[in-house]
Amino acid sequence: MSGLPRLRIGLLVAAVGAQILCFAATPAPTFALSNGSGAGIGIHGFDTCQDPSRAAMNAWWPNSPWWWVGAYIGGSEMACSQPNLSATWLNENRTTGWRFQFIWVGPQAPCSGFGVTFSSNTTTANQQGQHEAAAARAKLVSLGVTNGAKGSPITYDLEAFNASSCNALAAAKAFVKGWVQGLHASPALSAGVYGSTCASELQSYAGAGQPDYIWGANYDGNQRTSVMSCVSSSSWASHQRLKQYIGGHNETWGGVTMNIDTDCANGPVAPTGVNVNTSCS
Amino acid sequence: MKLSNRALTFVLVAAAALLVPLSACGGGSGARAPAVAVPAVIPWVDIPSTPGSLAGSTSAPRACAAADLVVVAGQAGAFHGQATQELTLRNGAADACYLPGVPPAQVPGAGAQVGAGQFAAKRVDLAPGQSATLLIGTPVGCAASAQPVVATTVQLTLASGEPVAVNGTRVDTACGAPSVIGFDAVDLPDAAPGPLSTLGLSLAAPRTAARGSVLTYRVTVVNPSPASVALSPCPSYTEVLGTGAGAGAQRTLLLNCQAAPWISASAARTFEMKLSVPASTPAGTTKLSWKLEVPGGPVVGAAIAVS
Repeated sequence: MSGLPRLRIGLLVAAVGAQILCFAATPAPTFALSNGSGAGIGIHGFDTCQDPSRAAMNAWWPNSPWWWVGAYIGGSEMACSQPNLSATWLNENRTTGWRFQFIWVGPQAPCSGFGVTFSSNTTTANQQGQHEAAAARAKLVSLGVTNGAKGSPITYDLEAFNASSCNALAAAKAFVKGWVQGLHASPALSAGVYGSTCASELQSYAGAGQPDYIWGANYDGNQRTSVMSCVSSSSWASHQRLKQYIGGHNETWGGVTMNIDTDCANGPVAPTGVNVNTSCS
Repeated sequence: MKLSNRALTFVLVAAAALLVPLSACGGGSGARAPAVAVPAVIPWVDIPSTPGSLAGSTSAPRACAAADLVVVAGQAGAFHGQATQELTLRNGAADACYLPGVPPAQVPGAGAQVGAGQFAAKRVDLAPGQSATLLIGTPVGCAASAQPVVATTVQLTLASGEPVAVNGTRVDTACGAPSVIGFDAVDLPDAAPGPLSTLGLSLAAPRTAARGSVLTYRVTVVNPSPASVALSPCPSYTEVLGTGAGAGAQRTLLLNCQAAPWISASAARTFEMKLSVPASTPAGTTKLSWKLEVPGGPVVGAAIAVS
């Protein structure tokens, strides 16, 4: 083989290599999020009704003590519209360093006063829970989370209800079981439930088929997740708790003010990979 | 030393392999970047700069009138233990206007006034096309919840005294009076971000840093566009180790644009960074942040354990 053909081949290889470099240099539109084991220990975060703009998130990352954001991704009872939520929003915030707790707000307990409620019939409520799990999973995948969102934590927002009316407590337990069953279908996600530690009856969901973790709203100002009113310290005791310990208030970081709740994670956040300290234990 | 033909061929191929990635990416509409060799990792240079000023919200000169606003009912939902109704107020005028506080609201169907609470005097400025969201909450979970009392119209009263009726709402007053639980402007996306604002970032840093040492890490700046981006004027960046007032180290410097004056289309440049970690930095896991100081510029970060 003469030198000239070798040079042509070499240039071709170089050109192909350049295209590979170009492709690799383009930001990937998708990403994998996994909870992993022992993830999210001592990570402080916040949540707010409308997922914040990129400008707000960029202003808060270097200035605030918060590492993760509760990101509302959908559901028929999601209170605020989400003009900022997109695959790009997730990906760019993730690149910045933010972690997430995904929130789904679907039907609420029967006779609770909310516009959309699940059935007081436990069989139907269980099916509705599974249906909501499938919808939440599909939403997460549509937001670019790869591998069928395998391992990603999603929290069902179950607001306070009157447990003594309309068979609401039994229905809620059946619904939550359906939610967990649905998310545990392959590829399994991590199933959480958020609510008032007392008024959403979180303790009632402990036991067989329980959620992988709970996110309790308990505005006692104590960031320790082991301290939750109406929830036994022996339930969800292995890095399975998040706590919303301060309710809505304004905070300003980097010149940007938001009305937020503050939270502590001693449980899954996405993506995994950082444990800060034990202050949330 | 005399090179054989075979050796010379390999040298030429190697040179081509170095040059092609710098000039062939994308091939878009932008100006072609000159084929000048750039080191794989751009060395760090210590050229202090100043951080960009925070884009302040513009203060509108006049209050919004009914003719300015497009007000619609948004989602009904659940938040903070309350049933909620979102209203969206969009400034449809050609100029900015403001709401001096949350507009007083009534629910005529239920004969109820909506409590304004902390939002009564919260001023919200709206640029043309910008929206504000107003979230009304009502209590739930009472004995009367099974018999909802739903109002489908909310009436707002603007500062001018003009009423604005919003239909299609769901405000259930069976368990108590409604109140405003949220009122804020929705950020507008950057109208026309410059080419530097579209750059992407990634950061590679060690997981630990010792107090009193120099932290060396790398930031890769990615140009996702089909045109080359010139780093001119040379942008600055701000790096922060720690957060807020407790930050252990914070500096604003210029990029080494002399060594890398452009980023080719669909290509990337990796810059070396150095940051002194003060001995006074608190021990523990903290944030490392790196921000490109251009309007709407990207921010990248990582967790670092300081020991």
